[in-house]
Amino acid sequence: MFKIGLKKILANRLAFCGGVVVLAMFLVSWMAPILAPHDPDKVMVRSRLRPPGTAGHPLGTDSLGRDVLSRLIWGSRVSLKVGFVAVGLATLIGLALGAVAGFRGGIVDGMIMRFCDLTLCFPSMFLILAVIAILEPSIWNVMVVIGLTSWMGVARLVRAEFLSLMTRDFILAARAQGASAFRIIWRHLLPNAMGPVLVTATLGVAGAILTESSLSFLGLGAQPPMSSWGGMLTEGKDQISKAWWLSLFPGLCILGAVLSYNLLGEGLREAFNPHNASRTG
Amino acid sequence: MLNYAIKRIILMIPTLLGITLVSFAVIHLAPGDPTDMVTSLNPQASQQAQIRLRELYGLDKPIHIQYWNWLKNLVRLDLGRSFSSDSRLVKDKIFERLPVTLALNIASMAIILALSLPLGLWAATRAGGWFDRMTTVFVFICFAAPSFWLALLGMGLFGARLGWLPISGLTSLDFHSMGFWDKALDLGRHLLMPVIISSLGGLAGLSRYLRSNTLEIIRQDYLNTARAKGLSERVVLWKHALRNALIPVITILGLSVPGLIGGSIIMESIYAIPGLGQLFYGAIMSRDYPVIMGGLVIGAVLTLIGNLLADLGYALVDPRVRDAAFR
Repeated sequence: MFKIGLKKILANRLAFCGGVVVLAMFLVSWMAPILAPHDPDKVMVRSRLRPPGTAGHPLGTDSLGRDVLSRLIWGSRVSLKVGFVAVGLATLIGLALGAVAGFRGGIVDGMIMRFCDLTLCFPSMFLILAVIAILEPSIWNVMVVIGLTSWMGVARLVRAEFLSLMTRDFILAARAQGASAFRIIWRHLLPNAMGPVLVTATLGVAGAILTESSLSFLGLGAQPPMSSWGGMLTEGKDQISKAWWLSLFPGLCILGAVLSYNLLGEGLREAFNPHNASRTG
Repeated sequence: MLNYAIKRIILMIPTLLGITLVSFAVIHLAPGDPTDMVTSLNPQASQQAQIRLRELYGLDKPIHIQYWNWLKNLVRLDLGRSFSSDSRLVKDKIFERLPVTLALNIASMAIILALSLPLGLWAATRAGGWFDRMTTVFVFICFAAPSFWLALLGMGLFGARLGWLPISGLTSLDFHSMGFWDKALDLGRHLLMPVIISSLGGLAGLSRYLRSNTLEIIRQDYLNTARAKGLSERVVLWKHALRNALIPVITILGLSVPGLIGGSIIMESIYAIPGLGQLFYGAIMSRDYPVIMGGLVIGAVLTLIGNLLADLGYALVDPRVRDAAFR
């Protein structure tokens, strides 16, 4: 299945571009110390608010004279880290709850699904803000809280997949052979449900990056002096009438990152869709 | 219909209880004590004062009793007093700001609905054409662009650079001396940017959904039946296909309520609009626990009401659901 998926992704131009940007982002954040022309936190009072194109500062400097390009490069680390840790956590919770609900059914299923509905009822921004304000604003809290408030999609998806898979003959065959519940879930159900989960997770990374950037923008995410794209926009807001570049570039980075994950996710969705598979061979 | 509505409302009660429980639990995750906040700001507050405060807020009682007391007060809409220096009733603080947030969100909903219908349908009927491709690009960008960034760019361009629109607040300073039409114009100018920007995400989502839904419907047999009867393509598309494509829109709108309400926190704090979102953000920054709890509950209740309205609307519009509901 994954091989077919890979082939289709390569054929889908937009998804391919998304994948390339995602890979590039990984490389850039990994090689940040080499790529960044300056120390992202180095304050240079004499070169404050230089516009883009200034010698040595291709994207300009901020109100403390820090190099915008270097800060953008280092900021990609925050976005990537948050995206992956938050989505990893959400996917694990969603997989566990969805699997139990779908496999056990009955009261357990009912309770888990009620809990799922309940969590969906909160405007997640309210809940996330409240929890972070009460704990303490930090990038780790942001990851955990985003993870804890975004597992519902995966849980519902896995449950639905399980319910439809469990009516199939190969599960009956496994049961007839006396396979344990764990083995049926682990070897037979989960692998067959992984396609849609991967799609949701990829789209989830995009969502987590967006949420993190809004939290950092509100001052509740990455704390200064750590450079994050959302945090850079907070400063952009203060200098909105004087320095447009401080607002433009970090936003473009967020847009590009989120767009790439979305395109990749949509491409994966199309690749895994059995409806499409049967049509195109 | 009434029976159905009543049944739906009764089904909401356990969810409501759950909401209060989660809101309560969230606040009690807090390390330390809410009274630390009030007393630590005031070095003269003695140990005794803190104990008195704890008694006042019932914090010396076991946690389940605290919850029960809070719940009892909540039913009477008594959310306590704010910790901020004005120490006003949380209820008053919330309800004086609620209309602003509701008006903003309803205006966004109206824009979403009015624009996404033609966008989605046109894109679907011309799938693969240049219009479809353009809307697809627009949709993907709207999905990916953080709304607060667009708000910033809008402020910089239309506010600071071009000077066309005001960049903060709800009204101008001389609002009170204006005539009726000037007042309306002034409000409109202040709300234009926030409303449009906060509707972009929903607009993208709904038009995308309508597009794919219409594409599904176009393949259905009953459209062939309609064509076979000799109806014109226009009637087939705009009557038979459109009506069926519209039904799920109600659900989508209902589901977009939490996003809009959550988004109003960011929009209102960027544009300095005195709504619920701004109140909530302020409360969070100053750890005003009673207001935070009230905001959580109100936000969730608004979401529930949105879902309820969506379900009822669904029952009204879709004969299949309606027949089941009326019975």
